[in-house]
Amino acid sequence: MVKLSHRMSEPVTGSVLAVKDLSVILSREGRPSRVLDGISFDMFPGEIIALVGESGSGKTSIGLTLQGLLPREYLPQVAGSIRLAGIELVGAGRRTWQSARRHLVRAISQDPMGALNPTMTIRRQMQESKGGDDRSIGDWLSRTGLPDPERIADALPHRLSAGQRQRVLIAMAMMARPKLLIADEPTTALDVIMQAQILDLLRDLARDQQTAILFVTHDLTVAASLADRVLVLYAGRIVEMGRMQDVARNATHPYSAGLLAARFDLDSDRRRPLPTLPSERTHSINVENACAYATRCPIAQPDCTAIRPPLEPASVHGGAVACLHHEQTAFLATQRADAKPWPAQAIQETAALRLSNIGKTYPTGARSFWGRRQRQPVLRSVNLSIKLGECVALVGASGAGKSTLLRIAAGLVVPEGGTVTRFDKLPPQVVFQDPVASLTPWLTIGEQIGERLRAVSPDSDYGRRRVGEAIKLVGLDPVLMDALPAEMSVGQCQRAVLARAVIVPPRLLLCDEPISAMDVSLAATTLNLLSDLRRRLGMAMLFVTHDLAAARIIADRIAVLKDGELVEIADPDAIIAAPQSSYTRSLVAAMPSLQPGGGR
Amino acid sequence: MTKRPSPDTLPARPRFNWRDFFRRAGGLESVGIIGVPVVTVVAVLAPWITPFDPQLRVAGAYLPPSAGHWFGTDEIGRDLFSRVILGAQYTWLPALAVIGFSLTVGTMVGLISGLMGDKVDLVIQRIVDLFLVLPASLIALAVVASLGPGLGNTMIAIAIVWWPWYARISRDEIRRLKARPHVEAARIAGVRGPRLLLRYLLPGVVPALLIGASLDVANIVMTLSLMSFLGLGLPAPAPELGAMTSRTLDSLTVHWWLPILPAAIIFLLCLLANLAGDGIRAALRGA
Repeated sequence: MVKLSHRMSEPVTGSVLAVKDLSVILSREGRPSRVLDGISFDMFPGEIIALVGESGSGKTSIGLTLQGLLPREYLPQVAGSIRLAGIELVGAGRRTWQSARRHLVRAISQDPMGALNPTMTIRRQMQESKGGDDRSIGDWLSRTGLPDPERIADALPHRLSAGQRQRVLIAMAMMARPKLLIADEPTTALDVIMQAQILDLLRDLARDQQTAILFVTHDLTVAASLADRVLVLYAGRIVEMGRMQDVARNATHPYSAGLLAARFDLDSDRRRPLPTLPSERTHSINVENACAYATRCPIAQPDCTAIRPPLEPASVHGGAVACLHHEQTAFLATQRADAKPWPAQAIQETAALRLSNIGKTYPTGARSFWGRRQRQPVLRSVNLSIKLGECVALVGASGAGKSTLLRIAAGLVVPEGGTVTRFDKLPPQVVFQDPVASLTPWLTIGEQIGERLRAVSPDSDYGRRRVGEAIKLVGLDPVLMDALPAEMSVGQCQRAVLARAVIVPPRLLLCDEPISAMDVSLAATTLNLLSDLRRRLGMAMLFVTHDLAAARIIADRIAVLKDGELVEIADPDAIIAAPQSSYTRSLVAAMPSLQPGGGR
Repeated sequence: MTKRPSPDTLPARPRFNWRDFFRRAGGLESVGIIGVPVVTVVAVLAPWITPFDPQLRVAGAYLPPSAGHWFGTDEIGRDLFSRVILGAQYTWLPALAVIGFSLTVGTMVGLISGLMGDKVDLVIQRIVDLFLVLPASLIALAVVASLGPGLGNTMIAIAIVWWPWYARISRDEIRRLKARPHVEAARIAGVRGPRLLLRYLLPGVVPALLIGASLDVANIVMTLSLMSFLGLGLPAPAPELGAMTSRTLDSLTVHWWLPILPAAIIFLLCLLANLAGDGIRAALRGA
């Protein structure tokens, strides 16, 4: 197996985790499938390795395998070798695994609330986890940067914020002084400011405690700001591994190069479409004797579907790559700059939407003495107007009132104060965060898109033709008209949702965090599609997001919302170059960047 | 309909697959799912398929079970097996009828309640609460006492205490679905009124109701049998299973088959219905 040259200089005894030829087969519905295939890597104390890949690449399975927690109903068959602190874990008994999970390997997950017991105080859960004395609990909580650790120790999980819960989980995991910490997308659900804090914390812990951290993520930018080394995973195989900076600068596998190119940050070119990975993953080829990426690869040659590429030392960096033609990858970058810029968007002076002095409160759980619910303001006299053809992005932390404002604009929520004025009677269309959940599972795509053609029957020739045109407009194959949502991928569902929104083009399209749950390439594809549609159909757009980079790409103006108040609204590049409010400044500073060293 | 895309380019639609359905339901549960329709057919055809006339003396009194008379004969020489088959008709079909009636009424009330929300919901749900707190057997007793014994009155009595459960289930499901993005998206797309209800909401409510109803069949069989055991069902000569058990209970030590075998059939019917309910739940959840 490949040993990475820059690690060869370290003492061989230093390795804390040695994975060799790890293969995992899971059986779903009686059909076995190989989710991990010949995975080999070492980890050293205090080292942070990022495990990068799209959903379904097997990155979460590696984490579960290392904890012996693969779901039993899938009848896992594990082959190869996992040596953690000198103990062989493949084929080990239940007691060995239990002791390993208690003392050697700990994990934190994307959903800290799900990992905490809602009926136990933090203190009791931490005692349960370690059996330690009370003094060390407070000590560990304060070490993760939690203010007032004593108060937090005695709180129940629901009293804490998402970021605090994640810190508690990290404290709980690190208190056991594990050799290995598996962090599976621990920051995906957090906003950028909290994300930056958690990443700092992990970096410090790895250094101070000499714990090896396996950081599982789909986001190369986050990986770049944290990890020492990176493993890029595709279809259960390592396609590229190496030092983080090497791979970030000179990605050698076409897949890693595509992932890197698709990632947009505050420096991406916003005048032309974002580069994306070609199409979506297909399962059609037999990967035993082929490169699994061959069906999507822009530089694929005939031999790619005949030979399985071995993981070999890369020519341009000290790592390894599994690609027969990796010397071609460098030429990919030059092709990308050729994308045609977006045509200029005609923005009229008339407002498509005008929100004036919008105020809204929500009842809190607390009641006053007379049983009246106390109300918490979410929006305080917000003024915002969007011109015809203009796109405004609304940026803010979770709980800032972004979604409430969008729902008021859509007419789904009635504001308590202020007025909503729209250009015409045609109601605005809304794109929600989860495209799959936005489609009714028992109706075909065509039926659902056709619902907006109220005047004509969607089953008539004319109706079907209109639906077909809408489906084509968003880049879907018209045969999918008769497909059910469950038969389509997330990306296809997103396009279907957009087709429903634009079959009768609205003057105003409202998007509620449409890309926040997507991996990098799908997010870029969706941003491109939205940019294209709004220009072609002359739609005004309100784009709600917590991702400043996405906002900058898509919007003509960015509005920043904090605690229900609009703190700033300006041209995207102006707002990022010279943020006026302190909140916007911290938002810009927290943005991860591909350049090593992170943020600005 | 001129230019439907040719079907061979469509993704293979996983149409309803029975083998998959039974695999998810589980082995024993599948027996229940198959058993329930079989029992229904037997119950409907009961008068024509009994080996002997259930109302007439066909052999000596108190014959124990034998090859000729599988369940033996009763105190006047009637064939007990024939009487039990007919008895299944008197128990099983009313149970299904009560379920059907309660489902219809309950679902309609629940849909209105869930869809209208607010004050309408509040009023309807308090009325539902009122029915839910009534003890089922006692109400049934009271109804039968005032209307007089008889199968019809027993059924009315049970239906009165049963529909609120379905009203509650369908109301909760509607409220859950209403908040889902796909229903919200349909509203934004301009779907309103009955179309929203029938196309976007009702299909989502059906699984929960189906599961609830299939598990309730056994309860209603039990309640009906209890009523006739107490003498509130059909009058004496009718071979109602509960009544048969109760009338012959005093001869348990001498002629054990007379109370035990009808009771065993009640047990079997309940078991089948419960297994079917469990199976349907497992299969629909897994889908």
